[in-house]
Amino acid sequence: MKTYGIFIAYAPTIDLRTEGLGRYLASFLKAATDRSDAHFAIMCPSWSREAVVALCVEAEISADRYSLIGPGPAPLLYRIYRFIRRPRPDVKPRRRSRPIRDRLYPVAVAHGEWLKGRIAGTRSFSAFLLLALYGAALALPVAVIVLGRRLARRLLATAIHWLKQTLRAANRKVGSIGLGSLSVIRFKLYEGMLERETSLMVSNGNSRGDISAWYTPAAFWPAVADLDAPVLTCVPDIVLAEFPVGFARIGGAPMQHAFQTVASTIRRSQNFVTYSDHIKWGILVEKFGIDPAAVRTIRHAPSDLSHAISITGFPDNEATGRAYAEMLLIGAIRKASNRQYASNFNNSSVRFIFYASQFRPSKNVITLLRAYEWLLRKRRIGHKLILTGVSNYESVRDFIDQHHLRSDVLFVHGLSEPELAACYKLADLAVSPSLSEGGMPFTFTEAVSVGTPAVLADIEVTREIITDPELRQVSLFDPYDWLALGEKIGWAIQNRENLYTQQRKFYDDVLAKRSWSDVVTEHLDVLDQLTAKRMVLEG
Amino acid sequence: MPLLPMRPVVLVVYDYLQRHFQISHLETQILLANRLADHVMVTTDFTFQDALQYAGVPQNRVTKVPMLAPEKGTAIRGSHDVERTYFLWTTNLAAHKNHRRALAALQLYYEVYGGKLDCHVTGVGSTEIIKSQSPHLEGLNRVVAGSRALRLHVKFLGDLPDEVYRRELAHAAFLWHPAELDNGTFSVVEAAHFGVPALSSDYPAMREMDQQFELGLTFMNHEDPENMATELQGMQINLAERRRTVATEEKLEGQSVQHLAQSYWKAVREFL
Repeated sequence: MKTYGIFIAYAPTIDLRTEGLGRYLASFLKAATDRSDAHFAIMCPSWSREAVVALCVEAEISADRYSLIGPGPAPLLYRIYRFIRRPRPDVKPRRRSRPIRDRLYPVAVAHGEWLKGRIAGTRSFSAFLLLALYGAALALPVAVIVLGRRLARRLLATAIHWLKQTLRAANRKVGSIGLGSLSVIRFKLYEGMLERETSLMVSNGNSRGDISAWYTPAAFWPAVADLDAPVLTCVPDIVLAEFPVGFARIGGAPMQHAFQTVASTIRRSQNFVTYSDHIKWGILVEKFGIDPAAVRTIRHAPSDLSHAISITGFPDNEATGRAYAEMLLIGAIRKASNRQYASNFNNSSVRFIFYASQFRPSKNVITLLRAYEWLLRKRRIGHKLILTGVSNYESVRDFIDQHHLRSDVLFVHGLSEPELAACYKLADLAVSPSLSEGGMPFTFTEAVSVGTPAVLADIEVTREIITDPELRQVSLFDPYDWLALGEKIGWAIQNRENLYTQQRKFYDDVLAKRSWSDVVTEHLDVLDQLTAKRMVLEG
Repeated sequence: MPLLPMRPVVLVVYDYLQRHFQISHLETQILLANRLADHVMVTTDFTFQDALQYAGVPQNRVTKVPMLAPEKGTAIRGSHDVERTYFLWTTNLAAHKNHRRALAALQLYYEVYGGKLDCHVTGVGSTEIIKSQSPHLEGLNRVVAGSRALRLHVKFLGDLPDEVYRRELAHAAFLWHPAELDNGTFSVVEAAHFGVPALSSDYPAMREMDQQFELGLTFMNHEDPENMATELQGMQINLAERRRTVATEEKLEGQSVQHLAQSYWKAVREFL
């Protein structure tokens, strides 16, 4: 049995389950570990071990089908960072004094009521005076304690606020005179930690003589070139090069560094794989001058979500499946960033349009929002728009606020796979307005696999897969024209059944013929060829 | 133990304008009341959809009941032969009343199409339309001040007493309803009782109202002042024919509370 290595070194904060690349990796690993003739050793940084295990658990990959290798305990700096950022429970722990307070409170209230009744009912001036004095004597210490505590809390909060403001101002001043702000120092420390970790990973990998070749699913790690065995580097896309202004605005120095890292990885690597010819020819060959012979295009297999939502063993599986999906949908909606609105939303049959993606400059979310706003306010479609990106993405947040869409555009970040599948299944339509992707967006197969049609931006990677003019006509739209998108969505919702029938036929007849096992086989063929070539050269 | 006897709560919701316009700071409380109610009754399909889609109330807790419009009262249909010199625009200061486009349409109607009918503007706060500093009304005073035709033909009458309003309505050529969105205005039904036709914005609730009461409304595109002006001109030219299409008294009688109350009772009875 041959052993192949998979090299990943994602940042500590990345939850692979919510990333497109993570979902790709899960599908790849699932098919790879199903093979009986190959074993996969996943090399990852110490901080990613939990995330990789969680990804494999969610993809139902048995732990004995792969091995995790790489540096052992996480760096101390990272552990400190995690400690500081640890999730804190929402509910404050019950104080020890609480039971005493709970017992005293009703007694005090009852006594207060008694006193109130006596004062209100007395007919004697002296009794009134005595009772009033007695009341004041009781109330005074309580008032002093309550007001004193409030004052102390207020003073503490003011002091903390002042300290934070002062630290921020100092940080800005230090940054402005070029000494490096806190964020730059933090970034440099992270960079150093990542460099050290990847170098440890490389030496760890090189000490393993059983790994015949390496596959790395992203071009983010230049250190892979230092691995002794041949390496196949996957270049999903280089959106940073295609949308430099947008990324510079949101990312600044770290984003520039990310681009340099990708460029450096490509320059140092020798063998590439892409998901589409567009990335191969348009980016690697044309922009980076890579020899076309060194680049193989291996397309995705469909991302089928039906397994995450299908129900069997009931008299009416369809109805039970729908009820299950509706339960998951309500759970997903209640995760929405607008908690005030969503926390008691009750209609599990709500009609909506769905787009599952992170928010990045290339994702063209504003065009989708413009189209949606037009449909909601001018065409009165009434649907909601459910997105999976985070709601604090600046341009999106501004658009939502300006157009009063906080209750109609819901941001449900961090969905589990069953929740994602439920959203796709119950949506009237899935939409992908993205201007650039490495391969045809997963939106299409994820939606169609659970019975929902999708409309996609008319971009090269999609045209490579959808070649039938008639299917293009109904499924694609001009992503630079929000009105065209609005009209397409409106049309697709009205003609949902026909659109789905056409797309399902294409899915069954063409896309479903290819499986993730084919994708893995093609990758292993390339890895074997690289190993053989290396042996010939060394031999 | 509850302090008050627990009684089922059935809400009648006329619209969810807050979904489309920033009109209330009580959005959360309103939503909560909707979601906690045992049942919600609405009077149009449009509001029905908003109850499900915006308020998030499950479909089995929402019922559509017919609209209950003001009844005929003492209204008498005017003669066809009387010369009518103005039309009535009933409005208020709310943003969805579409004042900016309405005034643009009026300006086109008078200055380009040579419109002959005056426009009488009535309703709560309507005298403030050209004085208000609200963002959606700001600058309208300059629009009116800059147009001699608007100054001459448009009269802001304000909130009239009922009797005066009914007299105004009875003598109007037609009623104009250029709002952007709401749950439908009953002013067009009132107008029909007097035999006065109406020109209305084309939005779902008004279509539904036209269908239920068979009002014979004429519709215009409330987003396009040019179209609004053309339709105003059309009303002026075809007034006699438009008056003939107004719902008959018998048809309106069929929509009385007495006839429609049964639907309400059917919905409420379930909770008693």
